[in-house]
Amino acid sequence: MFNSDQYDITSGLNSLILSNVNRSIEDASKETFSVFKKFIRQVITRSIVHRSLKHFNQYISFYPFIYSVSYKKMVDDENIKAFQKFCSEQVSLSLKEIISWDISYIKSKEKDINERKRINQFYYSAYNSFSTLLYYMLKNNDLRNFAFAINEYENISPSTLSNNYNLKTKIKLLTIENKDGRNDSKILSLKNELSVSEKFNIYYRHVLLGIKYWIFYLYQYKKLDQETALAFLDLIKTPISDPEDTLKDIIFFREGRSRFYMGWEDWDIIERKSGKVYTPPDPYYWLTMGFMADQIRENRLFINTGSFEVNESSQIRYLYDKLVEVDNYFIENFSYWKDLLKTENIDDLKEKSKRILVPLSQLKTEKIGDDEKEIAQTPLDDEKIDFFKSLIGSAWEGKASIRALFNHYKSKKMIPQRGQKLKIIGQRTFFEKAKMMFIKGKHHQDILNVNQMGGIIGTWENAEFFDTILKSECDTIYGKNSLEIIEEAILSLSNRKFKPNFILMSREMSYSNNELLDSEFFISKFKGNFKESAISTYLFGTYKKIPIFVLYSDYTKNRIIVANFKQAFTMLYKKSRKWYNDLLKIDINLVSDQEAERRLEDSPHKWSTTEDGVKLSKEDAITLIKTSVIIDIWSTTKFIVKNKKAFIIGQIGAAKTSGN
Amino acid sequence: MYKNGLKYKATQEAKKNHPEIFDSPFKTNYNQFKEYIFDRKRWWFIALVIFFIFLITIIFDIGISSFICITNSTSRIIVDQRTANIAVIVSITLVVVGFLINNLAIKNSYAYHLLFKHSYLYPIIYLTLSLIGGFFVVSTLRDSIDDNKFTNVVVIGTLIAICVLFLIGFLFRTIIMFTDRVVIKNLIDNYFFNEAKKLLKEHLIKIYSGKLFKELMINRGAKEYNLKDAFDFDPTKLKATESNSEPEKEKPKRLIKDFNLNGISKYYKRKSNTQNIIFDNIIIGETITRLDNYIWERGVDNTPKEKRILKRSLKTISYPKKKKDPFIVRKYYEEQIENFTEENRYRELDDVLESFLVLYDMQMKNQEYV
Repeated sequence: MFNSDQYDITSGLNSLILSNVNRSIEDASKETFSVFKKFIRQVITRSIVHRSLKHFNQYISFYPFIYSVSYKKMVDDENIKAFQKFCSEQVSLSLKEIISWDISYIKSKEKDINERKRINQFYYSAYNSFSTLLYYMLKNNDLRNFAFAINEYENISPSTLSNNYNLKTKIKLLTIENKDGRNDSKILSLKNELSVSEKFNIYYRHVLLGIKYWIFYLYQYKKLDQETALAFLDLIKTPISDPEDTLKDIIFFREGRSRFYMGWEDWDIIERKSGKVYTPPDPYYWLTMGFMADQIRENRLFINTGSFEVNESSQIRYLYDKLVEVDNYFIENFSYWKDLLKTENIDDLKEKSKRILVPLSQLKTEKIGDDEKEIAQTPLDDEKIDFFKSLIGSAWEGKASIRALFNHYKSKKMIPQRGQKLKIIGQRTFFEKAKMMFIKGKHHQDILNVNQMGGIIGTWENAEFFDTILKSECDTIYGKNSLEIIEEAILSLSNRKFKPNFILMSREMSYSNNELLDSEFFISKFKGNFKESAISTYLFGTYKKIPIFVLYSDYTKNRIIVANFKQAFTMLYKKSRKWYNDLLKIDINLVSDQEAERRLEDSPHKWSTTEDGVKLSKEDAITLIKTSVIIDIWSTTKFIVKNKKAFIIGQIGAAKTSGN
Repeated sequence: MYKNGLKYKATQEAKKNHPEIFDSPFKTNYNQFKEYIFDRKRWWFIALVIFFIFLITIIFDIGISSFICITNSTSRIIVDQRTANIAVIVSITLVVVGFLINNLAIKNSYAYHLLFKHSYLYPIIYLTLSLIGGFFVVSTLRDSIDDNKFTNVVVIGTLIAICVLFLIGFLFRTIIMFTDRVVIKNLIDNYFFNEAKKLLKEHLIKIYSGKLFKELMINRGAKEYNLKDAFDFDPTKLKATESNSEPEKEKPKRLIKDFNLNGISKYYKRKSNTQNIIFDNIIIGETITRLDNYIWERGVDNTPKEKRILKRSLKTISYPKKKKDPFIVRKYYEEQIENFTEENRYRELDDVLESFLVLYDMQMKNQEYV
């Protein structure tokens, strides 16, 4: 209902200012431009003081725009080179000052952690703007201004660096001493503190890494020649960060979040024509490629995963595979990449990539084992099992339409557990690696569409019913259309003294046979006054007051069944209080040691090698098998044809003859 | 504003949180009164005042002769002289004003408009002309008016004429001040900030009224209507009735002036099931079309009685066809920015941007997150 611009007395002013800044640049008027520059800075400073992120964002985005417009102007008019240089330098200077003075000053006075989180949003927007500025400079191959901007960028004082280091050390010490869990709350609060405090440095690093990786990408697509690419790369000095941070950064870059981060989603290597749909390069790809190139070039990756969270470590397996692909690409195109990667020969390249890939592959194997061991040891959770049962049960009920019809016609008979043996309709499934669905904790994970297992049992029951009646050698009649068949079947049943009260046809017939729909005796479900009940979903309408049901099934295709239901069919079934709604047995069992060993013996290759080709020991393979579960789902039912004279099957398509 | 009205509560809340935006009631009322009286369209008001002063003096003997000694013959001579004097003064004034206006520091339509308004040029001219008119009538009726009363009228008229002299002096002074750019800029700024304050006040009342109404409804367990509700109806409760009548025409939108908060409890008293109540938010100063259907139970129509309660609780006026532009001074400044940038007049540009900075300050300080 509210929109924030609607109730803003300054709304629209930013556009006016922007268009006039543009004009001052077009006129190359230094004085007018300076007046606007001062105004923009003043609005930005005030927006930080009053914590108005909206106004801050409106104005901070002017800076890359100013650079871009002035550069375009310079391309058309060589005489304004000095003015362009002035604009470009002022933009870099202003952004540096906003980050290291304006925002940092306000942040230094703020003690409240939530307020500091808010202030981090200002940092992000300012860094984002700087990132876009550097991107524009790269796009223009503007090495001179890039050098100035990057120099200003490096002058941003990472004032909080020492504070972060202290916090990290404190957390490490407390974790070592934390054997009985008494430091838990303190560690958590310090971690929170660190997560807020380190944002400044993270953004700082990410902007530089993003730009650096983008240079590699431009070079890959020959948008930069080698000399220029090297000149740009030499200007960027990424800070030597904590080894944990390097890995955390690349994992972050490869997550979905990085797609809408620092403006990367809009970076493109060619000018696109407006009005045409296109997809800019995926940051996910070029950041990974750039990471590998940078690591080989800088040759300083050191991996320590001690402080890794589970969800981060699970990302490593995908990262490893992707990096191997990138590495192969570098090897194949070695001569093109040789200088950029600072490698002497192909062996040197291989050696350097090995240093990156080997620790990652070890980390991958190690982590798979850890996760799976924990899953294998965790007991099943009753709550999760009950939830699973209800999912399966309701899916079964949704599909078991024939059972619903038997209930409706009250043509069923319960058989005691020890009585006559009935058919077991269902299955026992060895559900590989599905234990995570039934446990609590960090490893719990849902599997999508698992409820279909229940639905399948429902359709099997329906199939069992049709199979029974088709095998019963009942009368079959043929006709051109459904109306003809129904009429004849009704007549035929009436002659045999059976009053028809059930018509069943396939769903596709229900809308492809106009004869029936046009008949005066047909009343559609939507027109008649039908009571809502469990079988309403399958009801199509009535013909001469006989209900017509429709079902999706291969068995009913082109067939119509007309019957006196109760006299024709009955359903025998068993009940147990332990079953879902007393009718459907659903059991989830763990894999026993013997069962696991048996399975390993049956398919040793399958269980001793992971998806990534890592060989497992026998013990690990058993653990892996034990992350599976055995699921039993079945209903105990039997359909019986009581009297085959009480129903007729009609079939469309053949010439009108009668017989079986 | 009545005390149980949404507008009153919203205003109180806004005043509490943003005191600097709200002037004292006296100042607000005085300014509104001044605006009304001295508007250039109110010539009839000044003429009427003069007419009544003359009329009262003619009807009642107010006894001026008891403390001013003036003979009847003198007053008969004076009346003609005064008429002539004032006529001369008017003509000289108009000439001088014309000359001064030609020498204004800022020459544009808005500066003229401001000058006329600020110097009270129109009311002074109306007053002078009304006075001449008064003297015309008195001099014409000199033989029909009682001697004493005639003297009284002449004396009163003369006193008003003396006032006019002072007012003309004030007019000259103001116009001469307008030859200084800084004075004009400060004056325009003053109007600019008042305009912004007024708008900000309206925004705050809108925001607070919306918040208050929503809060009251949510506290009673109601849910704000959104697009999802439009599709998420309960088909079992859906009822459609056949009708021969023409489909109902869309009702014209009306502007919400106020809402009586008692309406909510009255509505709820009539409801047996209060579980599924949905509402459209009520915002003072925004428009509404469904005057009797802004609160309802999901899938159930409001009864005629309930509709009446809702309609009566709401105070609305028809939506003005021509809305007053809330940004007169801002637009003037925006044009100035365009002109100054084009002509590279950066010092003047700086001055205007300074005013915009104050505007930003005002907005940021009083920002309410909605």
